[in-house]
Amino acid sequence: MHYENRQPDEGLNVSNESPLKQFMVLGASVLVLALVLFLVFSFLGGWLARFIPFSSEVKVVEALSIDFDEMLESDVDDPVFIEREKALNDLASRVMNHMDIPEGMDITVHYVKKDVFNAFATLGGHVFFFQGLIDLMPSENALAMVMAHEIAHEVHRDPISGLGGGVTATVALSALVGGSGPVGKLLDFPTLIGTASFTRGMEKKADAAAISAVNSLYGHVAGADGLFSMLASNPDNSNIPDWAESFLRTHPLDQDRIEAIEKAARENDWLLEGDVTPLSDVFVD
Amino acid sequence: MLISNLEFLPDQKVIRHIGLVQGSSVRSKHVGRDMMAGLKNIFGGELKGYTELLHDSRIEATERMVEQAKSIGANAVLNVRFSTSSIAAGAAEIFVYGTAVEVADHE
Amino acid sequence: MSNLIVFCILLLLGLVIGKFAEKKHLKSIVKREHQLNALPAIASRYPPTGENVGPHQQLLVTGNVVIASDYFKTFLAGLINIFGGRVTPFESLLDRGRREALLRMKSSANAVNAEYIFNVKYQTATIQQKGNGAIEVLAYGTALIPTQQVKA
Repeated sequence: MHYENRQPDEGLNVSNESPLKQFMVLGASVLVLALVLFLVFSFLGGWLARFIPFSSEVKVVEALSIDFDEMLESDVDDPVFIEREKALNDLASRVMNHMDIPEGMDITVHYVKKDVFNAFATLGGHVFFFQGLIDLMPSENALAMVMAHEIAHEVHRDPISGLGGGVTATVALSALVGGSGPVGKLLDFPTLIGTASFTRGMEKKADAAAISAVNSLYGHVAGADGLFSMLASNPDNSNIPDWAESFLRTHPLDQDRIEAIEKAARENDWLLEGDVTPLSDVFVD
Repeated sequence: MLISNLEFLPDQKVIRHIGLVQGSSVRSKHVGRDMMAGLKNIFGGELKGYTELLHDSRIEATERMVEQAKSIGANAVLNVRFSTSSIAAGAAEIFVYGTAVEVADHE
Repeated sequence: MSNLIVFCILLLLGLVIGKFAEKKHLKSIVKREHQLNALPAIASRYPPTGENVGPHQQLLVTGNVVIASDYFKTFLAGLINIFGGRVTPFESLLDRGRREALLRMKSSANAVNAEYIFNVKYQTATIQQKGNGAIEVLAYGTALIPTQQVKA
């Protein structure tokens, strides 16, 4: 018997595929797949969350016992703060008289004395207005428009829907791929939760409801676009091209919002001209 | 003591089979070595610490098997097999077993 | 964001250094395989017997190696795991492990002037290490060492 070891050809047990190419193709597929799943799950979760009664939403927020004023560092004893918060709530109830508010829904407006350009609606009927936004308001009509917009979010149950969608998508995705797995490393789940905001559709719907309320309140829509006109004529110093911005951001572009107001007015024979109510002195330092 | 993974000995005669003997050894590396291994997991390559660890483990397991064989009066262990199972992060059990036999005119 | 940057750096390091180390290792394996080619390692369980075969001493010889996968390979394998199919990044890892283990066994047999190694067996085990892949390959067999260089 003769024994020997002949050397077989090299590389018969290994594939000759380029790992980098494989990585690119698979990585891209995983990202696309995750994005599609995220959208599907956030849509599903958002849709289901609307079935949660508003009373339960309020109870949950109460159970969390968040002191919004403390969280936002508001000085609740400051007479200016009290006056302005009251004025905002008064405006809110005036606006609400001209909107379809479901039975049992209460809106609480919180005033925040900070130089932040923002206003938002969150769970449990809480709406926040920052001084930085009010400062830019050219008229009460413009403020009423933003107020009606935020209240419309509450009426449409957008905060709970957005949160429900975000949480559902995040939980479902992390359950599917595992937070510590390779895909978990690619997708930063906490960041994803943060992106759970209102969709463009929600914003457009809120705008439509708001302009109708403003028309009904003042008898015309003049001045409602005040804020948007100002923003549109003073483009912020971002370098993002318009088309990209309109794709990326959830709020419609200011120009689009002005046009939407005009279009709604034309369609419903609302008056575009009228006396604009000046902003109450209460809001001016 | 003759240890072989063959089932018979070409030049010698097995008088009797005495039984199954086995040796085992469970070891793990200290944290420093584990950290080095963690680094290696980025760049790839041989984890020398683990290679040595498992090698030493195998020697120890074999010694234990030989002790067993001696205690039952064997002078050779045939058909020896190794098996490895990782039982916890960074710890592995080495198991070695074989047939203890008595061989004529050995040594 | 910083997590993502660290992750990308690790991937790149794994890809570049891992590939370099793999090439170097493979080169050394091929070289040593040629050097030890004269010593046959045979998977057969039956050693040669007969009149013209001289007496042999037997010795159990082993060779083992633990090889870690690099960061890039591990990640790519995880991606492939989602879609299924051939896990190509681990093929070369296992191939190198098996050949290295066999070479170490052969060289320890060569050190005692063995003529053949019979009943060669491989054994592969994963070494769990915080979710990262490391494998141990053990090759073992019985070295047959001629007791005397008795030539007829």
